Formats: sequence, structure tokens, C-alpha cells
Amino acid sequence: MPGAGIEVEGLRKRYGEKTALEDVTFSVAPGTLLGLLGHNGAGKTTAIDCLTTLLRPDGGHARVAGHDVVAEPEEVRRSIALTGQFAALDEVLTGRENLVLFGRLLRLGSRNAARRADELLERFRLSDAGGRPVREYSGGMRRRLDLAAGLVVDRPVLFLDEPTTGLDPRSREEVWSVVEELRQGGTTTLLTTQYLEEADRLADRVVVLGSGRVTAEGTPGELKDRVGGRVCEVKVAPERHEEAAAALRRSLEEVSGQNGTLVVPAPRTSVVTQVLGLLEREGVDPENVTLRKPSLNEVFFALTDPGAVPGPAEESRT
Amino acid sequence: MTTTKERPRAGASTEHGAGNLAAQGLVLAARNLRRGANAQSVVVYAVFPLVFVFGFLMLFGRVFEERGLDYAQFLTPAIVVQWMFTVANTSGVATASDRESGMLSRCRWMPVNRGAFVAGRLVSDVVWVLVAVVVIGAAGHLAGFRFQGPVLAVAGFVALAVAFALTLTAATTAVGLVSAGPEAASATLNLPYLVLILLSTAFVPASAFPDWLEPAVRASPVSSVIDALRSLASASPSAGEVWPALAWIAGLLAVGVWAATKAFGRAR
Repeated sequence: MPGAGIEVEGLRKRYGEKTALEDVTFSVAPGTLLGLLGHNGAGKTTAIDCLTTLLRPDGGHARVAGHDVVAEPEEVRRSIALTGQFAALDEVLTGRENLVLFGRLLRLGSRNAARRADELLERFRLSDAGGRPVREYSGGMRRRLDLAAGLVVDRPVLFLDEPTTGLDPRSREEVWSVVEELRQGGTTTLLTTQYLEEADRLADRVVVLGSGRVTAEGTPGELKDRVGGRVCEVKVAPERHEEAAAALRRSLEEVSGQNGTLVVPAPRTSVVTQVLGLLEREGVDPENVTLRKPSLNEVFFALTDPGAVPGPAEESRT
Repeated sequence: MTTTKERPRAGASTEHGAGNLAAQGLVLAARNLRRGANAQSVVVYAVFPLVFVFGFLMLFGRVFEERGLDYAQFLTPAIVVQWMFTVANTSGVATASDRESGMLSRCRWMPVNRGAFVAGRLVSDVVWVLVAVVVIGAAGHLAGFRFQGPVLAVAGFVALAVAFALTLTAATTAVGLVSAGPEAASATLNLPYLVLILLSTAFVPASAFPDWLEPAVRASPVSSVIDALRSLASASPSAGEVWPALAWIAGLLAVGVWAATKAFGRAR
């Protein structure tokens, strides 16, 4: 479908004193899947809320399937489906009744709504569970039904807000395969996630959000190369942490860690020599040095907030 | 129904106009009623009123009879008002639950009429009010309560009950929309309900309260509505006893709708 992409330009949103989105620009080409990667509080859900007309942005422009989210909200709503962090379903009703309800809300008429519900149950492998109340569904089944509910009428643009957060590995796999199927069908998808692994698996391109700003952008492969495949971890006395971090930052860009543990990306083994040299010049005696694969969290951290030292405050949801 | 009629016209709006509002409001009302029609609410709406009517009658009936007061006639309108609080509080909690589950958000990002969510809630609430009035009226009848006035007064009785319930619903909807969740909404709503119903002429006449409290009890919105209902059920309904209730309802409705609208705009 031509023009069924997403274009976001200079999007801004504040909640009182707090900046949720600051000059966010990115675009999703029609028929592709963009992963919006970021920690809790990075602005992912705010971005989704602005693009799905749930929230009015303070500034900037956004077009979804060719329609401006502020000037043409109804046209936007007629082009989108959204699966939020929590499945927005009626727990008391059966899976089938939920789908019929949403079909009737879209004025399908009771017979068409019922037929469409059966089609969707089959397509999302829920036919057997269709007659059971949703409160008896597993996490994966709920998300699948939630996805199906968004597609009662075919929509060219799909928003997935952390679709697998809180799911077990098997349910996650189920959701992933449905998302992949939809993308193969030509649906433009914007997916937010906290998991690099998820973005890696599903996304054509990734935009990294940190504190409401775009901090990195590229294909999953490009981003991984930027961080490098290994990190060098140095342990120093905790009271000398700041001193050591400052010394490393003089020549190295992405220094993270806390309480005497310093981590820097080490694409080349020579980074170890470099680190030791910088610490020696500062008079800091390292207790231990290791070269290892980065944890997902470190990769992510390096991309979302380069140069900063993580503290407990940044880990918590804001 | 023909197939062409069922299918929405290509490009037709599913958001604007009274047709969409009515159709979507009714779909949501049916869903609300389907949710509410469980064993628990059958007990709440069918059994509790009977327990209240006959329970209070057993407790206080003879005392009031000695004073020359027909307690069944006195009590039944009060039980109706008590149940209007139950309908409104249940509605507020259901709204909080829809907000928590994301059903409210879904109605906002889908091309659904902006008023359909509220309209659906109002319609299902009116149905519950009518069920409650019929059940309580029947229980009262068994106990000796009678509509002693003209049919118009009976219609007025039902209309006033509906109006009061919807007024309360506007306020409980606002509470439901700003609460952290259904449990928090329920806790917030129970206290004002108990205070308002106990400090009113629901179960005892105003003269039974201490002197310093009596004027406040007499003027309270709950007493005003109960006294108006009593008047409408009596042999000689008087406009003078209905006006204070209408004034309270108009005022509270304005505040409630303002608060609910503000809360609705912010709720996500």
C-alpha cells in the first residue's frame, strides 16, 4: 500500500516539568518493521500514544498512513491497530465474544462480525479456545487475541507496544511468529521493546530512544557493530570509581558501570592495553581486568545513554 | 437484515453522527449488562433489597408504628435511593476496571464515536436502576408500601430515581477515571456513600438526630431526594417537596459532568 508508512518529525511532549519526547524524528517505510528500543521511561509509550491519537503532542509533526495525527485523527484511527503492554480485552467475555464486540463497534453488523471473529480465531490458532472466557487464557493467547482484535478490519499500520514483556519464552515465540506473518503480509509495523534480542529478530531498522531523544539509529547489525562484540571490564576500589571513570573518558567514549566496576566496549584486544595505560597514568591500580562478551543490558546501555554512568535512579521506571 | 445493510459503506465514518453513537453505545451497553449479569449481581439486585426492606421493617417497624408512622411507606423510597448509590458505585468501579484493562483506550484509538463509551455506561446503568426500582417496589408492596398518588406521580418517582442515579454516576465515573484501579475506586466510593446515607432521613426522620445536626440532615441532597420520592409515593404529592431534590440534582450533575469530562480527557 503506497504511503502507508509512518513519518515522525521533531515530535515533542512534556508532562509538566518532565520531558517525555524531545525532537524525535524517524520514519518507518511502508511494509517494514521498525523497532523502537529503550528502557522504561525512555518515551516509547508516549511516542506510541501520540501516533495512535491517544495523546496530543506539544510540537512537531507525525503522519501515519499519510494522515496527520493532530489534524486528521479519525483517518489515522481508521488506518491503525494497536496492541498495548497489557492486553485490552474483556476478561469476562469469551475470546470469540471479544472479537464480535470489536467488530460490532466498527459497525460490521452482527453476522459479518461473527464471521470475521471465526476467521481471526482460526488465523491466530485460537479456534479451540474461542468459547472460553479470556481470564482462562495464557499470556501468549491473550496477546494473540489482542492482536486479532486490532485486525477485525484490515489495517495497514500496526503498533505493538512491548508485545512480549512479561511473557514466557514459548509465548514470546508465538507472538513473534504472528508478527512476522503480518509483516510478510505487507503491514507497516512499529514495535517498541526493551529487548535487543527482540529487535534483532524482528526489525528491519532500529531506533534507540534514551530519555526522550533518539540516541542511535540503524539496522540491528549496524548497532551491534557499533558497540562491538566484546567488552573490557575493570574492577577498581569503589571509592576511586569516579576518578577512574573520568580517566577512561578522556580517550574512550562509552564508559559505563558503577561501584568500582567499569565497562568499556572492546572491539579490539588493544583496548585492554589502552585501559590499563589510562588507569596507570591516573595512579589507579586495577584489582582485576577481564575481556568478555557484553551482556544485553550493557549493549543496550551503551546505545541508550552513551557516556553516562548508570545509577539506581535510571533503572527505575519514570 | 440483508448483506449490503450489514456492510459499512466504503469510507463511511464509524465515528461521527448520532447513528454511530447510538449503535456503538448499545453494543457497549449490552456488553456491560452481559458482564454484570452474573450470580453476584443477581444477589445484589434481587436478594439484598428484600433483606433490607424486611430486615429494617423487623428492626424498626413496631417502634415507628407506636409513633403512628407507616414504616413500609417510609422505608421503601429510602431503599431505592440506597440502591441508586449501589448502581452508581458499581458503575464507577466498572469504569476504573475498563481503564485499567485498556478497554477505554481501545475505544479511543479505534474509530468509535467519542461519546459511545459513556453512552453505553449510561444505558446499562439505567437498565440496572429500573431493575432495582421494580424489585424494591415489589418487595415494598409485599411489606405494605403503596403508590398512593396518580400514575403521573409514579412516573415522576421512577424518573427522579433514574436522574439521581445518573447524577451519582457522573461523580463516580470521575472517581473511577482518576483512581489507581477498581479496588482503589471502590474504597474511595464507599465512605461518602455510608456518610451520606447514614446522615440522612433514609432510615429515621430528621427529628431523631441531635438538634445541632438536624438542619444539616434535613438539607442534605440524599434527604432531599428521599423526601421527594416519599412525597411522590404519597396520596398527595407536592411540588414543594420535589423542587429541593431537583435543585440538588441539577447542581450535582453540573459538577459531576464537569469533573467526569475533565477526568475523561486525561485518562489513558
